Formats: sequence, C-alpha cells, structure tokens
Amino acid sequence: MISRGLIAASTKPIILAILKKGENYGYQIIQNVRQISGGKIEWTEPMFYPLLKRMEKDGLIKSQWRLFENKRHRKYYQLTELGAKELEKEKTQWLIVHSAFMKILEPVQES
Amino acid sequence: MFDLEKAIKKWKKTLRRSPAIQDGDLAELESYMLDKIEDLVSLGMNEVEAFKAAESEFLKSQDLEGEYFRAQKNSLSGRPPWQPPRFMPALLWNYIKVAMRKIKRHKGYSFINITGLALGMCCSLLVMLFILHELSYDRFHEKAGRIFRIIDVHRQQTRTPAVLSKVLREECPEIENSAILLNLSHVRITCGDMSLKEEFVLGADAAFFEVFSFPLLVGDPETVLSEKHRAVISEAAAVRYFGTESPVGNTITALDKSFIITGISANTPENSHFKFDILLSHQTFEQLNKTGWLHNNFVNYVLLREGFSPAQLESRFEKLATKYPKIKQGRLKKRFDLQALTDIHLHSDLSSEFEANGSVAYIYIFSAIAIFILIIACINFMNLSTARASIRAREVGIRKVVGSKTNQLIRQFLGESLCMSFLALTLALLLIQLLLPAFRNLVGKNLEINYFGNYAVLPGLIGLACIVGFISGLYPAFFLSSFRPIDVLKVSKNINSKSRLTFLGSGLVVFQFMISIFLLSATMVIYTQLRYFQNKKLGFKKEQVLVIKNAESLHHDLQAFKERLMRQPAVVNASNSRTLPSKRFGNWGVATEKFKTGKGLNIFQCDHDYLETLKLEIKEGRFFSRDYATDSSAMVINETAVPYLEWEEALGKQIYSYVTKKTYTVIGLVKDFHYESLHERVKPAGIVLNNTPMEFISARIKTDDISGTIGSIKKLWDSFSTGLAFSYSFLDEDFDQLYRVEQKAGKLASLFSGLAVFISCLGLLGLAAFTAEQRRKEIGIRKILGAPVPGIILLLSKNFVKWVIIANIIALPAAYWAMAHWLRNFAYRINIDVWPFVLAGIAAVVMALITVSYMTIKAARSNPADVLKYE
Repeated sequence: MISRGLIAASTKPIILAILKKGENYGYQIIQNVRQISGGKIEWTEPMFYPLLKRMEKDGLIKSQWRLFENKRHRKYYQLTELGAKELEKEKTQWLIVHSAFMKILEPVQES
Repeated sequence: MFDLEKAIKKWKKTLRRSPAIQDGDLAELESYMLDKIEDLVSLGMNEVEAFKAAESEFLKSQDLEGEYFRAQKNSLSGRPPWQPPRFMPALLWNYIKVAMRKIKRHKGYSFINITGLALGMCCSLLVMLFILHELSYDRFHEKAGRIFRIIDVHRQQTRTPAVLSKVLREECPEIENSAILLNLSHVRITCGDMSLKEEFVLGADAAFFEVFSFPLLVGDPETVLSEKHRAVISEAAAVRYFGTESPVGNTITALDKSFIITGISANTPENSHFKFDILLSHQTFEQLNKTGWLHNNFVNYVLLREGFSPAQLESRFEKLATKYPKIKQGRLKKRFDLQALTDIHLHSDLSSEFEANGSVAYIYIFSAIAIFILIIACINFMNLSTARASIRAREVGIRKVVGSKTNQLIRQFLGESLCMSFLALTLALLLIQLLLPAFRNLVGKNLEINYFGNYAVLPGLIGLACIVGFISGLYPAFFLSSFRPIDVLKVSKNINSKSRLTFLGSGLVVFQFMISIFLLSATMVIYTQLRYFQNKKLGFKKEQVLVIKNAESLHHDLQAFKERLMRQPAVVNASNSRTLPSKRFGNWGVATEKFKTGKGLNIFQCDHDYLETLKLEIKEGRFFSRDYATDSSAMVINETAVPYLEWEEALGKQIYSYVTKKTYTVIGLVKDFHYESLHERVKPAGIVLNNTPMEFISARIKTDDISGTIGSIKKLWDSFSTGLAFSYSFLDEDFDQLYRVEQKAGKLASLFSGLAVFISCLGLLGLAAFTAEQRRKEIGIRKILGAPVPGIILLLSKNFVKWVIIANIIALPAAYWAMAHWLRNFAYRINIDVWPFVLAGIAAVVMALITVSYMTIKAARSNPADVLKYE
C-alpha cells in the first residue's frame, strides 16, 4: 500500500491527468485509478469529492450535470486551460523528483 | 422488504444536517452511491449488502463535513464554525466550579473517594519505592552491564579459586579486566588503642577500583591497593577510628598483619550486593594464593570488553578445559558460569553470598498486590460515581439541551475524576511522608523519595495521578454522558432505575472483596506458619539462652570468665562452642569402615556443658564427660547421621576425619535438633569436644530481671576483655532471624490485606449510604405498612452480603491453592487447614455487615413521617 502522505500529494495530478484524456465523472475516475494502479492506489471515496470541489473552485476543472441513460444525473468534470497548465507544472515536478530519486539509487560505477 | 430509495433518502437526511454539505454536493454523493451500489450488485451482492457496504465508507470517513468546509474556504486547516472549539476557557472554569461544588456539597462521598484513592496510591507508591530500590542493586557501577561474577555451578558456590581470573585474563581476549574479592568479614581491627570487630572487611586486588565504580575521596584508584600491606577505609570507618583527623598514612592491624591506609572511599551504597568498611590489599595474603585451583576462597569478577557477550566467554571455558582440567568437573560439561552483576541481588541464591539476597518472586507478588490495591481504590470511585448518577442526570440533561456534545461531557467528567485524582495524590504524598519511617523499619531498607533528584519522579507521579484518574473516571464518564435529555428531564421518568448498581458495578464490588479475602486468608496462613516455626519443638530449648560473641578474644582467660559467669545467680549453665543452632557451622569430610571415599558431615565443636546448656536430649549412650579423658577423640552424632553413615547401630563405631586427621569413636546419639531454619530438613551432624577458646559462649539464664543480668555480665566481660566490646544476642531471636523474609512478607501481607479490606469497606459504606438514601421513601412506606426494623435491615443488607459471599466462593479456592503452593517452600510446615479460609471468609462477611449496618440501621429506624411528609 502507498502511504497516506504520498496519496494526498498525488491525488491532484492524477485527477488532472485522467481528465486530460477526456471528461469523466467521480465514480469512474476512482475506478480508472484503481484499474491503472492494479488496486494499489485506493482513495477513500467520500473524501475525494471535497477535493474535486476545491479544484473546481480553483478553476482547474469545470463541471456539468448530464442526464445519463435518461434516468440519472451525473456530474461530469472537464479540464480547463488553467488545469492543463497546472498538469504540465506538476508533471515536470514529478519528473524532477523521479529522476533525482532514481539517480541516487543507481549503482555507482567504479572506473 | 428493503427499499433502496427509502434507505438512500434516510442516508441523505443524516448528511443534510451538516451545514457544509450543499445540495449540489449531496446530489453528487448520491450519484456516487448509486454507481457504487449498481457496481456491487453486478458483482453478485444483493441490494441490502451493497447499500450497507457503500454506506460504511461514509461512516468510516470522519469529518466529511470538515473537508467540504475547507474545500469551500480554500484552506487546508481550520475548524468549521458549527463545531465547538476544542478548548473553551469559560467552560473550563465552569467545570472546575461544578467539580469543586460537588466535592464540597457531598463531603462524605468525596471523602471516601479521595481517601480511598490516596490510600491506594500511597500504598502502591511505597511498594514501588521498595521495588525500585531492589531493582537498583549494583546498577550504579558505570560498567555494570559488562561486569560478571564467576560462579561455581557444580558446587552452587560463589567462591572460586583466585587463579581462575588470572588464567582467564591471559587466555581470553574478551576480558578487559578482573577483580578478586576475599570475604574476610568479622575481623578484629586494631588502630592505636582502639580495637573493634568490623563486620565488612574485604580483601581486594589492585583492579578493584577500576572494575567497580566506588568513588575514592582520597587516594589514587590505580595505586591504593597495588601493593602489599595497603588498606582503604570507608568514610564511616575513618570517622570511627580517627574522628576529624586524616587517616591516610596511619597504620591499622588486622589478622596479625599491619596495613598502611592509602585511601578513603565513600560509604558503600546500600544497593550494593557487597559492602565494605575496610579493604585490605589482597596480595598481603600470599599464602592464600599459592594453593591454586584447590583454594576456593575468592569471589572473581570479570569485566568484558565492549561488544562481547558472556556467551562468547563461556564457550571458551570448554576449550580451556583441555589445558586446565579443573575448569571442567568430572563428566559435567562445565564447572564455572558467568552471572551478570545486576542479576546477583534478585536472582542468585548460592552458598557464601555476601549477604542474604532479595527474591524476585516477592517483587512480583508485591507489585501485583500494589496494583490490586490501586484497582480496588479505582473501583470505589467508579462505583460511587455511577451509583450517584441520578444526582448528575439533570445536569447532563440541561448541558445537552443547551448544546453540549457527548464527547464534551466525557471530557468534563474525566476532568473531574482527574481533579479528584490529583487531590488524592497530594494526600498520598503527605501520607508517604508520615509512613515512610515505619515502612523503612518494616522492609529494613533506607528508602527515600527524592522528588527532584531524579528526572523521572515528578512526571511519574503526575503520570500515576493521570492514569488513576483516567481509569477510575472512564466508565462513569461514558455512563453519565450517555443519558438522553428526554429521559432525564421528564419528571415522570424514574431515573433512579438507571442509577441502581449495574451488573458491572456489583461485579466490581465482588472483585474488590475477592482480592481482600484472598489477601486476608493468605495473611492468616503465613502467620500460622510463622507461629508454627516459633512453637515447633526444635530438639533443644532456645528460650532464655544468652549468646556472648567474640569469646575467643579472651584467649586463656576464657575458662576463668566462664567459671565466673556460672557463679552469677541468674546463670544456670554456660558453654563455649564454635557454633550454635542458627549460626554457620563447619563441614568435615569423614570416612568410616564402610566407605573410604569420604562424605560431608556438619560438625559442632563445643565443650562439656553444651548438652546441658542447650538442653539437647540424649537418645542412646552418653555426652562428653570430664570423667573420661578419652573423650577428646569421641563423637556424638544425631539420629539422622546413623542411616547417613550407613550404620544400624552407631555406638562404638569409628569415624575418621580428613580435616583433623583423627579417628573418633561414637559414644552417644542425640535426638535430632533443628540447627538450621525449618526450610531445611534436619541434616546429619556430629558433635566433637574442643577445649580451645571458641567464638561463642552460650549461657542459659533464669531470671525476671534480664536487663540487670545483662548489665552484670557486661561488667564481668569488661573486666576480662582486652578491648573488644561486649556483644550479645538471644538464641531465640537469632533463630527468628532465619525467618526474616517470611516475617517481612507476613507483616507486609497483613498491612496490605488490612488496607485492601479497609478500602473495600470504605466503598461499601458509600454504596450502602447511597442505597439507603435512595430507598428512603420505600422504607417509609414499608414501615407504615408494618414492616419490622430487622426485616428492613435484612432487606437493605441482603445484596451486599450476597456479593461478599460470591467473592468468597471465588477467592477462597484460589487462596487455598496459592498458599498450598507457598507452603511447599518449607520442609516443616503446617497442614493446610480449612479454618483460616473459613475464618477469612466469615471475617469479610462480618466486616461488610458491620460496615453497611450503620447505614442500614439508621435508615431502618428513621421516622416514616419525616421521609414522607413532603409528598
């Protein structure tokens, strides 16, 4: 399992990344993440909605209620331009961390 | 039938209460719920299970509303305005005020609560003090963790040859240093005109101050003992011999050798397993070192290098055995073993210990008792607080109506019990100051409570008060805060029914009495066993025998002294001997015709008057007589020695001693007499005649004026003595000393059981008062309808007695089992009887009855008119 701290830090960029592929709704996003990570990233679902709300308020995503199969409403989220920029920023940061981490772990070659 | 729509509606209703979750959010959460349920149903769950699973996720995530609130506010922290702040100064003041009012208004209950807790705390603190002292033994040495004593496993001895540590030091790189001690004890020290017998005299080598951390006040630790004829004395001894003058450079004489004082050490701490007043340089006693492996007279300590384990060193013993066969014993794998310095006091019970060690078993027992007493006191608090819930119920109702939340109330009540607990702690500390001198006497240790010396003491005390307050307040707090306002504020509702003692409450009273009864019966058994010790026929008469010590110092004047002594009107008889029952005795290797290999036989050396003075009984033959010149090679043996020496008939048989290299003829048989403590069976023993001056003179006296007799004997001693002070004891007291551990245990057990019973009764008193108060009207009506007073008393006492009887049923078999187990320690013991247990049980019932009777009689005799007139 991944630690709570790391999950908290990674939730926002992951949501942004998923929404980049197209609009989506809350339950589906959670399912996608679970599938992609092979069940290793588990979000406590009810806590995930306040976060969506915050991101929407920050202007990173926008939402729209749609009727689904003519019987139920679902709230679909879409990436905004600001959100796309934020995603790029996050991506660079994660890559920096990742490459630094890997370099440290690489075995030192002795000449 | 399960209706999903209805269930979701109900679920939404609970969420809608929160001001932070807006309608839009709720709709989204609902859509999530439906998706989830649909998914779970498609996986094979039925609707009910799916709903429950989805709902449980919301129940698990605490503070969903807080998250929504922070999402709106755009901040990561902060407390939503509808949640009360964690800390409200105004309310805190109110809590304290209410708590103080309750304490003041219900003085009786507060008294019972606080005194009970204080007694419990005081008692457990005292025991803790004792335990900490026992655990602190030898830990003051800086290298304590690396110091080990080498013991002889084969002979169960602490004494080993001096050559051992020399060999080990040469052969084992694990050893950093080693020290040798020679327990000289009771040595006569002469310094100028002064001559005193010193109890704590040790021979030590140069490494002593390097291995052990005894601070030297004067002198260089490396050189003070590095050469022959050097001595270090303790501060106390320095004052004793030299007063205010500096002792360094002066000479003292001990064991016919002179020593120059080269250093002064601080007094040995009480928690050291050996003590010394005088240290003599070990090299002086050269002849002792020569004998090598055969001379097991020393105590060897080794200091391991850092990072090495004792097991590594022990494994070397086996390898070394090929080079030094003495390291092994016969077919035994090994003869020597290592014993950690810090284990010696509580875990070692070998021959020739420096002093009687403590026992870890008693440490466990006493800590258990201390904790139990603390629990009994906590139970009082719990029971009284819950029983009195009806008084608080309206307060809880009103607080809830004006917006208090359950966990706020829990905090309030816990705070109250903490308040009580701290008051009790203050009282307990006062009590400790009062009781400490008596407790010191009881356990025979110089215990002290040093509040500022140790950084752990104050936090520890505060921690204790917090734990006690928390444990005793937890249940009442949850119980009281669980009241629903609608129940407690409705006038018609009978809240009393809720405050009657619950199942748990009566269970707790039963538990209290269980422990009390257990301790009570244990105390009775211990005392019966001790009385048995005191009254058991020992085969000699130990009463009225005065023992004069150091008699050998009179040299050839001893006979004259003895004769003058016997002329004293109060002295019936007197005898000179090397040992007496209860004292250390010699052991000779002996051989008879049947076995030439040698057996050990305990030997008593004495003069002709020994039998008469001690009133030993002759079974066959005769005792030594002045009429027979041949008696110097005669021996009297005890009954047990006959089968031991493989004889059927002992009189006239020959016995050879390897020690004196003489053959003795058995001339008499004495009835077995107990010369050791009754823990041991009587062992085979022989008595031989010795006409040289020996250590003890025992005098059988017959007088009512003991102090006058002692005074005149002292005068006589002083006229003969060469400077050594008159030192005496009574044989029966010396014998009782053998049961010091049991006597101490008996005293502590009676103290603790007394306390346990007292605290339990205190609680019972409170409960009885409460029940009587609660049933006042019922009693009034019963009396009007013609109920007799005894009937009412019975009615009120019935429950309490029932509880105590249940406690009896549980506690007595447990106590019986435990005490039967304890008695197995003794070779001579009482037959465990039922009556101490029956007595303890009856005593508990009677005490409970007496305790409650005051309240019940008062209630039963009350005038119904007074009680009912307001209705």
